[in-house]
Amino acid sequence: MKDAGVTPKEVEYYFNGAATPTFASNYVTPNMQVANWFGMKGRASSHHSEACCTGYVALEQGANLVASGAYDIVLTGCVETAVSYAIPFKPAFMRRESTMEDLIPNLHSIWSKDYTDPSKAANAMCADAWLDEYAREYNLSKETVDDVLCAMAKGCREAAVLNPLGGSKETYDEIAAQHDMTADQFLRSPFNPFASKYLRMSNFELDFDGAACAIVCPTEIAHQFSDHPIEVLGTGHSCLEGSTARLEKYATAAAYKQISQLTGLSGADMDLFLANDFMEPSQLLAAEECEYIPRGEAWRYYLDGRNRFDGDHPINTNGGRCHYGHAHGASGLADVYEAVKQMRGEAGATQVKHPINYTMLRGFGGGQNVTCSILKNAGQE
Amino acid sequence: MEKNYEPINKKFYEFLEEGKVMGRKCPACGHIEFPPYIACNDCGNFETEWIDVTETPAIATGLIPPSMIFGDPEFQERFQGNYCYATIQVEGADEYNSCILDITPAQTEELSRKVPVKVVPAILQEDGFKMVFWKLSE
Repeated sequence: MKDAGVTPKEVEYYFNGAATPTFASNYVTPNMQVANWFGMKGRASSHHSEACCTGYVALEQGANLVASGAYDIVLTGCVETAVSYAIPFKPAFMRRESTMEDLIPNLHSIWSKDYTDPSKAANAMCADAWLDEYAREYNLSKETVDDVLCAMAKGCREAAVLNPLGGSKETYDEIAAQHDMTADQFLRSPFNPFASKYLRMSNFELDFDGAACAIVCPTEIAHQFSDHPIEVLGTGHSCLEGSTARLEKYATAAAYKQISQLTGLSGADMDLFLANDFMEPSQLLAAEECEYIPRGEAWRYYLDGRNRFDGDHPINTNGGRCHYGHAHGASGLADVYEAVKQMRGEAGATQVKHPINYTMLRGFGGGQNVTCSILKNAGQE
Repeated sequence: MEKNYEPINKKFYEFLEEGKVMGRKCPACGHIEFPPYIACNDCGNFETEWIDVTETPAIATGLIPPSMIFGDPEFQERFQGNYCYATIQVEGADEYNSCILDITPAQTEELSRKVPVKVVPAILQEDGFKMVFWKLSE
């Protein structure tokens, strides 16, 4: 609210998003339990939960509600306690560390009980499947795919370390030096083993507690609050149940098609691309499906460093889910925050090297919501 | 429109007890929903009808071995690692994700370069219900 120059009395409606409210926060309707904390007593609100896509849907919900004309000032926020769980019947400040024993059974709650979970069909989440097809289609060896994913991890890690909000505090160069290695040696060493056919441990999400929010208002009044507002042009949205083959690819293509038709813009018009990448190569798939990078060329872009924050096609300039960190439901709005900072030229050490007129955000959640939003820089008109 | 209160999910599992693998066919467009759902996801028609797909040709693509991250620990132990994830397509239906049983990691790697491969249903007894998985066709 302070960033936006808005006070609680001006907020007319708020959304509260969380991916795992029942078991992480121990709340069924967390929008109610947080209201008094920021002056929202008696104000209208609702909770929503779309797994790791929650924060991206939060932007869509806020923009759609304002566009409907029902409210002028909407706060849309998400909070996730991904590593510290609430303790039932204890005050809110008392937390316990979450464990894999907590996480694994709860992961099953995002998959349908009709056929998907009983048939072990949730390999929808498995990036190995589409990477296998990608490698075959573009004649890439397993070693080349490894080189691409190591370059991706190294670049994103550097961005995360430079970001004051980033969860990673040491670059791979710094960690490797402690073992008398180079970063490239370290990333391919037993310190960073394969956890699947293609993905090493460096390519998986880094969990944190976190929160983020945005104020959404009509474009015509935004300049009352900021001399550099960011306009939400719209959101494409596709959902595919977990047993659907190649769901991330198909849903991303569908969401991108919607936003492209709505705005008349393509991925090639974008100056910055952010993708939810709790499995890191997800950013490569998204960048090609959304035409930010020509199909079949993203692997080469990564090897050439073109997707780093200082490259000509920057992706995940905050470091992404595997290095900046992942607070499940809140991560989408953390990406919105990063996009806004970059578009205003306030991103500090990781500021991209060219002006940003348009940013595309590709949301993706384990619950299989996939979104594609475009933000426009309204401060340069 | 006549309302259909048939419990399709329950019937699917009851058919498996009889050794039958059943889908639902759309009378309007002929699309098969497998696993079975009430409405047609291809043309949007609300009505579908039972169809026996036990012996309908089926193929698998996208064969991926289970791994530390992508794998079911109970399944890993039960099949001693000899299963893989795969995308299955019953003729006339959409592709969906499932598993191929009794396939070694080496076979998975070799066959992943020779897809599509023919598969047949394998009905497995689970804890309190039967479920359909897949095996390589002879």
